[in-house]
Amino acid sequence: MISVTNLVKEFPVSDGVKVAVNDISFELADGEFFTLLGPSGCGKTTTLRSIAGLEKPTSGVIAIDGRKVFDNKVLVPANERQLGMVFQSYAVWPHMSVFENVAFPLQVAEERPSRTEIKARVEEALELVDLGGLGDRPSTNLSGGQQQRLSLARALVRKPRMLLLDEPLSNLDAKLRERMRSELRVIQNQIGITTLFVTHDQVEALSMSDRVAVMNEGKIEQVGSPDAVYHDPVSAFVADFIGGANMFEGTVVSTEADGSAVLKTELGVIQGRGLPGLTVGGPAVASIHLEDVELTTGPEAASERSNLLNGTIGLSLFNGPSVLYRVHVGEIVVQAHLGGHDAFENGTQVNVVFPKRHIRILPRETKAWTDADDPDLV
Amino acid sequence: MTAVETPPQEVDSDSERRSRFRITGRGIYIGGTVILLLYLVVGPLGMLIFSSFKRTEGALPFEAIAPYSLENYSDVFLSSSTYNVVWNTAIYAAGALFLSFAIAISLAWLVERTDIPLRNTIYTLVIAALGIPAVIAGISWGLLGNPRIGVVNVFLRFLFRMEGEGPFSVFSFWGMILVQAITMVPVTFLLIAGAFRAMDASLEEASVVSGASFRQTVRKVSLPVLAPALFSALIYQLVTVVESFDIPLVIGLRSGISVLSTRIFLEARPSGGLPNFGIASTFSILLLIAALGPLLYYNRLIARAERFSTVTGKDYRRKRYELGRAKPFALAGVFLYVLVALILPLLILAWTSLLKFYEVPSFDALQRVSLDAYRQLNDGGFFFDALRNTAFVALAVAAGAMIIGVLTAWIVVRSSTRWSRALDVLAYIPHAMPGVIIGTSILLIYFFLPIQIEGTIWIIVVALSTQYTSLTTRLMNGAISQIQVQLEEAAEVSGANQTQIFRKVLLPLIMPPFINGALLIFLLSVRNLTLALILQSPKAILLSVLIIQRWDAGQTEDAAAIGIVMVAITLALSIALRRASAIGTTVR
Repeated sequence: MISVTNLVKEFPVSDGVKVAVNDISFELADGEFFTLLGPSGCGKTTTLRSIAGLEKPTSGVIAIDGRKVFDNKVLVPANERQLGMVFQSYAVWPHMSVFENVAFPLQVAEERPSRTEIKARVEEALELVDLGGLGDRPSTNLSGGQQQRLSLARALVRKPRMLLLDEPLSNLDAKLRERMRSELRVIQNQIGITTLFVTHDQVEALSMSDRVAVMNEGKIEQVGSPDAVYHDPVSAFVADFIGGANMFEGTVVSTEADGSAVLKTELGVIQGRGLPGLTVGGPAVASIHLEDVELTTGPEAASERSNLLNGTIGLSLFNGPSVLYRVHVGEIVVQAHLGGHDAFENGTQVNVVFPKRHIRILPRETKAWTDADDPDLV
Repeated sequence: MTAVETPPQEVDSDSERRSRFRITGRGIYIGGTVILLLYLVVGPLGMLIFSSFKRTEGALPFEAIAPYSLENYSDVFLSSSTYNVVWNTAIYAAGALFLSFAIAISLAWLVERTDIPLRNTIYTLVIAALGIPAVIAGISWGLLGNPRIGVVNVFLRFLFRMEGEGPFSVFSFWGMILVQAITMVPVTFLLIAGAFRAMDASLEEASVVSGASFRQTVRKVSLPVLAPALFSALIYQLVTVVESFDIPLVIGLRSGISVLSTRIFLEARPSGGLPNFGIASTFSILLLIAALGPLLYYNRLIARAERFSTVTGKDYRRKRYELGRAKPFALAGVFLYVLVALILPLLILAWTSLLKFYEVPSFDALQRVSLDAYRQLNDGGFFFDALRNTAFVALAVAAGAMIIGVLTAWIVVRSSTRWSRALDVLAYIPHAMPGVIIGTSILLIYFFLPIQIEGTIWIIVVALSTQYTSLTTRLMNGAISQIQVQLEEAAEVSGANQTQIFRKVLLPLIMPPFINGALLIFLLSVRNLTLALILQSPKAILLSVLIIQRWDAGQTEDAAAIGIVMVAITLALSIALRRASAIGTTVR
C-alpha cells in the first residue's frame, strides 16, 4: 500500500515560491491502478516524481508498504525505493542494447543476481511486453511503440513494489496509443502490480483506471471511480475537464429537500441535481454532458419535460459513429453529441432537452474556467 | 557544501537509517569538486591580491621582510610606461582582432555559403593551422619576415627590383599584429562557421522574394541574424588576444614592444636581476580586469545567443551563393591565406632545420642541406627529456582537466541550487586569468606551501589543469546538456547510485565529446608556452621552452628542428581532432 499524506511541493521562482503541489493526500491499495489526471501544470507529475524520489517535497509524508520514504526527517534516495518507472520520453539508453537496458536494474542491484538469473529474468520481462527475442538489437533500432515496451520491461524486471507511469502514451500516435492502453492494463492485471499513472488525457484515465484523482492547481478536486468522476463531478472544473460538458452559469433560485435545485441562467430556468454547498441567491453552474443532451423535432409537451428549449442547428460535424452539433438557443450555443444516424441538417429547428437526472448544479468556483482549458472541446 | 546535504546524523528507526542526513553520494561528488576548484582557482587569485599589497624588492611576498604597502599600485599607476604598455596592448588587440575577423569571416562565408570548389579541403586546411603553435608561427615568421634575409622580403625585392632591406619587417608593431592575427584565424573561424552554416537560408530567400537586393539582404537580414554569434566570438577572441603571450615574446620583445602579458613575465622572470612579484601581481590585476570585463559581458551574451540560435528551422535545404566569375579570385585569396598561415611557415621551418647556418633558399644552398640538426637534437640531453616531459604533462593535464570539467559540468547542469551556480562561476574564473597570471601566482603558491612540486613538471600539470578547467567545464556543459536528464533519472529509479549513473549511463553517452575534449586539451598543453616557460626549471623543460631557449641562443637550426618535431605532433593531433569531432557530430 502506498500512502501520500499532506504532500506539499514548492518551487522557488523569481518572485517568491510557486506551489506546485498544495497539500494533497491519497492512498493506493495493493494492486490498484490509480490515475492522477489533470491539465499541464496541475502538479500531477511533481507528485509522481516526489513518490519516485526524483523530487524532494517541501513537506508531507510518503510511505510505501508502511515504510516512510519521505517525511520531515527521512528522505530515501530514488535508487533505494525499489520502484519501477516509465518516462514520458521512455528514457531508453541509446548506448545499450535492448537486453542491456532491461538488465540494468538487476546489474546495479546491491545483491546482484547470477548471470543466468539475470538472463532468465530479462527474457521473461521482454516476453511479458511482447519483445521476446529482440534482446540483441541496439535499442535505438526500435520503433516508438517498441521503445515504450522496452521501457516498461525495464521498469518491471526487478519486480518493484510499485509501478510509476509518467504520461507514457503521450508520445505514441493515436492508433498505437489505443492499443497500448489495453495492453498496459492487461499486463498490470497479469502481474497485479500497484500502479500510479499520470496523464492529461481523460479518455486514458477513464478507460484504464480503478480510481481517478482529478487534479487542478496543485489540489485534488475529486477522487473516485471513472464512473463517479465522469457522471457525478463535484466541481465545475471536474465536469468540464473530464467530460467536455455544456456549462451554464446562473443564480440559484431554490434547493429542494430531495436534492434537486433550480438555477436561473441566460437560457432560462434549469432544474437539476444539486450539490452540497449551494446557497439560494448564490452563483452556480449547470453542467450536462454533450451526449446527454436530447434533440428532437416536432411538438413537445412542456409540462412533461422540464428544461425544454427551442434551438436551431448551427453546425453539424459528422465523424462516423456520431455527430457533434452546435445548436443556437438564442445567443447561446449548446453542444450535443448524438448517434450518427438520421443527422439533422443545418438550420433545422429542434427542441433541446436537458433531462433533469443528467443535469448537475455545481457551486461556482472562484476561478473562471474557459474552453481553453479543455483541448478536446470542438 | 556537503553540509547542505548532510546535516547532523539523526536515526529514526532501523528501516529509515538511509535518511537524507547521511552523506549522500551526490554530496561527496559536489563537496570534492568544490574543494578541488577552490584550491585550484581561489588559491592563485588570493595569492595574487595578497602579493600586490606587498613590497617585494628582493623578497618573496609572504616573507617577513616584505612589508604591506600600496607602493606597487602607485608605482604601476603613476608610471608613464604603464600607460604606454596599456596603449600598446589596446592597439595590438584591436589590430589583430580586426584582421583575424576579416579573414575568418571571409573564409567562413566562402566555405559555408558559396559554391566555391574544394570546400572540404579548404575547411580541413583552415583547421589544420591549429596544429601550428603560436610559438612556431612566431619563429617561422621571424625567419620569413626578417627585413634583411627573410624569404618574403628577398622575394619582394626581386619582384620589384628593390635594393637594401625590407620592404617589410616582421619585427615591428604591424608585423606582430599580422602574425598574431594569423594565429587567431582557425579558432575565430571555428567560432563563427557554425553560425554561417546553421543560418536558415529561407530567411534570406524571404528577403529576396520581398524585393530586397543582395546588399539589402546582407545588411538587413544576414548580418543582424549573425550578429550575436559574431559579437560573442569577437569578445571571446578579445580575451584571447589580451592574454596572448607567445607572439609578444618571440616577436614583440625582440622589437622592443611590450604588452601587459610580456611585462608581467619580465617582472616575474627577469632575464637578469631578481623578480619583483609585487609589481608583477599588480600588473596582473590590471590585466585581469581587462580580461574579466569583456568575459562577464560575453557570458551574458552567450545565454542570449543560444536562445537566438534555437530559432533556426530544420529545413536543411541551403542555397549557395554563386560566385560566377569571382570564383578564381576567391580561390586565389584562400590559397594566399593557406600559404601564409600553413605552407610558408612549415617550409621555412623545414628548410632552416636542414642547414647548419640559415641562408636564403637557393640551388646553391641546397648542396649544404643535411640532417645534422636532427642527429644532434639530443646533444646536451635535453631533447628526449623535453619530449617525455611534454607527453607526460599533456596526458596528465588532459586527464585531470577533463575529469574536473566533467564533474563540475555534471553538477552545474543537473542541479539549480545557489551552490551549483557558484561552482559554475568558480570554474569560469580561470578563463579570465591569463596564462602569465596563473603561472606567476602558482609559482608563488608553491614557494609558500609545503608541497614540494616547485621545480618539477607537476607544477606545470597543476597550472595547466587550472588554466583549462574552464574550457573543459564549458565543453562538458554543452555535452551533458544534450543528454536528456530522464536517462539519468531512469537509472536512479532503477536502483543505480551516483557512481553507477556516472559510469554506466552518463560517461558512455558523452564519450565522443569527452574524447574530443581530451584531445583538444592534449593539443593545447603541447602548444602551451606561457606556463611552461614561467614554471620551467632544469628538471622541467618542455618542448616549447626548449625551442625558445635555442631560438634565443641563436641556435636557429636546432629551434627549427625541434619545431618540426613539435608541429608533427600538433598537426597530427589537430587532424585527429577534426576526425573526432566529425564522428562526434554524426553519433549525435
